[in-house]
Amino acid sequence: MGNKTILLVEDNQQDELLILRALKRSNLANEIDVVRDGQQALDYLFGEGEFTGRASQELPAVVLLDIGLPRLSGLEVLARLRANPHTRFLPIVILTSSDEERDRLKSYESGANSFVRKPLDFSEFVETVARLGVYWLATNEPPQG
Amino acid sequence: MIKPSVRSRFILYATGSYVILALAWIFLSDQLLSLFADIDSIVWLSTAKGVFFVIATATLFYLAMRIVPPAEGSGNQQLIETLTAGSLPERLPLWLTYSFAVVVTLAMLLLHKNLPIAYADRPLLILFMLPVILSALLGGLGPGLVSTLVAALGVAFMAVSQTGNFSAVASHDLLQWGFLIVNGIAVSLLSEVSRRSIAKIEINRRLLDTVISGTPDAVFVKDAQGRYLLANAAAAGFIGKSQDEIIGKDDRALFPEKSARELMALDSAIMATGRTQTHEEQLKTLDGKDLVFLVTKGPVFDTAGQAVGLFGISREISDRKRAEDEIRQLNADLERRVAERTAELRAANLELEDIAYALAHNLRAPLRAISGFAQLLDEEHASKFDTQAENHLDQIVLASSNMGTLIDGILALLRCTRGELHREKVDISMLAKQRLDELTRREPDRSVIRQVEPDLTISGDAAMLGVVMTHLVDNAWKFTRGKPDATIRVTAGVIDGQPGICVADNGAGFDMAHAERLYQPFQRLHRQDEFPGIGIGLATARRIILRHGGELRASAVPGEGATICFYLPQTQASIGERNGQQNHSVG
Repeated sequence: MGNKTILLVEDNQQDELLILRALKRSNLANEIDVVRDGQQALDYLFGEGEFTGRASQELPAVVLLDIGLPRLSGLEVLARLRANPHTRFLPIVILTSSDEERDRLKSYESGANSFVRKPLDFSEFVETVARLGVYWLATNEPPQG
Repeated sequence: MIKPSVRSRFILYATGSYVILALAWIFLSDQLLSLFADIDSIVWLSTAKGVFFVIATATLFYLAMRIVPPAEGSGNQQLIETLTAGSLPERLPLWLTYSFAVVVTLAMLLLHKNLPIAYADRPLLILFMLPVILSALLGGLGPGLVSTLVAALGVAFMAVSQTGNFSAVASHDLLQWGFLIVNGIAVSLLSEVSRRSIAKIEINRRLLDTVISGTPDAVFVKDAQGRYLLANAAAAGFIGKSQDEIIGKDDRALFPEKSARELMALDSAIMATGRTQTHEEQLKTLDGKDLVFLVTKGPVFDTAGQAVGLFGISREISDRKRAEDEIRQLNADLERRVAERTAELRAANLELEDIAYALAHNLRAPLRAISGFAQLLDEEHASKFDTQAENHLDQIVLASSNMGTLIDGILALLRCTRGELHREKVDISMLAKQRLDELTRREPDRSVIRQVEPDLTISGDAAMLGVVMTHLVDNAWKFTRGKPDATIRVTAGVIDGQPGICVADNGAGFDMAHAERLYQPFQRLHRQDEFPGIGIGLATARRIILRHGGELRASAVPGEGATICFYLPQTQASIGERNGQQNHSVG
């Protein structure tokens, strides 16, 4: 039985609240860890810094990664994760407001598994996040059991 | 009144002279023959004098023919003579030359009369050639003839006064007398001819001299070794030496080494090719001036056609050149400044667009929060609100939604012209049909007459033109709502004299007085409750067309419909294309 955690990397607290709310509606809320910037995300996944001692062998089922993040940007985080054998196959979903084609291409180029734009409309937003949660936690087969 | 030309006068004189000389020869030579007694000598001499006559006249004929003045140009000659009348070498006054002729001849008569008598049997009339020649040299034809006449008459008078009868004079004396007259006339004529040709040469020389010394252009002639044979005052002025210092020297003595080397190399080339050419020369003079000349140089040929020297005419154009350079410099400066300003403006414009784009983009997150939490309130805490509060919540959600549409519209407008423009052949007919199909699928209940001209193609960016056709067809679709015979036509058309594409409808149309507002984002000509929309479609379409370097125009009649036409320049050049791409990372 694999890990059923979602790691949300999001610096916007309102978006965070909305995402949590959306996941809660799909009964996925207690499976979620939240970090607020890129460096924190790396520390979390590698068990370093403030996350020293965290069982870093335990990888989340999916990382929901924003692009515009403080300290390390989402794309930098993505590149670091892909460069490390430990996180090379970790499912990563870019969840962003950006509609720049370059960001999208760059994300896929850097090894993102999916690119999802945050919808403006709340209902759509809730639906999208819920679908993401269900898909990556239930439908998708993770790389390691 | 027509003056006899120089040519006809010459012919008249030549012929007259021939008649006189020939008659005199016949008369005198026959007299000469009469001195001989034996018939053999007479026959032999007669043949000899005939041959002599033919050779002499043939020679004179040849010489005369050579100097016949040309028929045309005689007018010019007269003009030149008139022009230079004041500058001709001064002729001695007539009275002086004639008096001199008379006096000197009389003096010779006196001398001749007083010669020792031993000479009496030989009259020595040859002595009189001296006053005749002197008179002719001094005064030309007239005085020469006068001297001849005075001498002939004087001799005759003396003979008559001695013998009482001129005919009694011995025939060989008569022969001498005759020769005196003929020689006198011949010398006078020759002298006149030579005087005239000298005068003519002088006229030409003076004309040439006037031109050469009067012109502000430098005029010079060099020999094959590059030594100056002639240099006018202007040339001397430019070189900074006197004319005397220049003559006989070559450029090495007159210009700094580098200039001299260039000059002499060029001169040799011109003499080698034998062609005259005009070019610009930049020279540094020995006193350090930098001068620019417009120079015409050409070879001087000898009679065998060999280049034996070089002539040149140089006009100083330093000032003109400087002015030209200044103008060029000013123009370059101006262009550079315009380019700089344009680049600054473009950069500022791009920056503004970037700010607008980032702003619009970043508004999405708080907007999502506003609408999201309002919706959460509405959905999860509805029981705590009364109807009015719920109404207010609904307005927040509605306003957020409108704002979202506006933000998406402005982002689409800004995004549509970002990135590179990829030109390719685009099937406009197909784009229009696809969009109409899509609209029909969405609203199957509407009946719209579609007239799309087949095979309308245009060269442009496929994605951008897709956006254009979507907006234009959507507008036509929207504004024909409620028309019973709604018609949308997509046809070839002409705009600003260029072939283009038109999308026409018979819908609501608009007042042309407000046409300009159509192209501004968020400007609308219809009320929201008539035709909903945010007023971004036409602005976006026009922006795309302008980015291609084309033009888009709308024309309409209220209540009867609107026609939107655009053209794209079908060349590679397109104005307003951006250098490089924009890079936005907005989270």
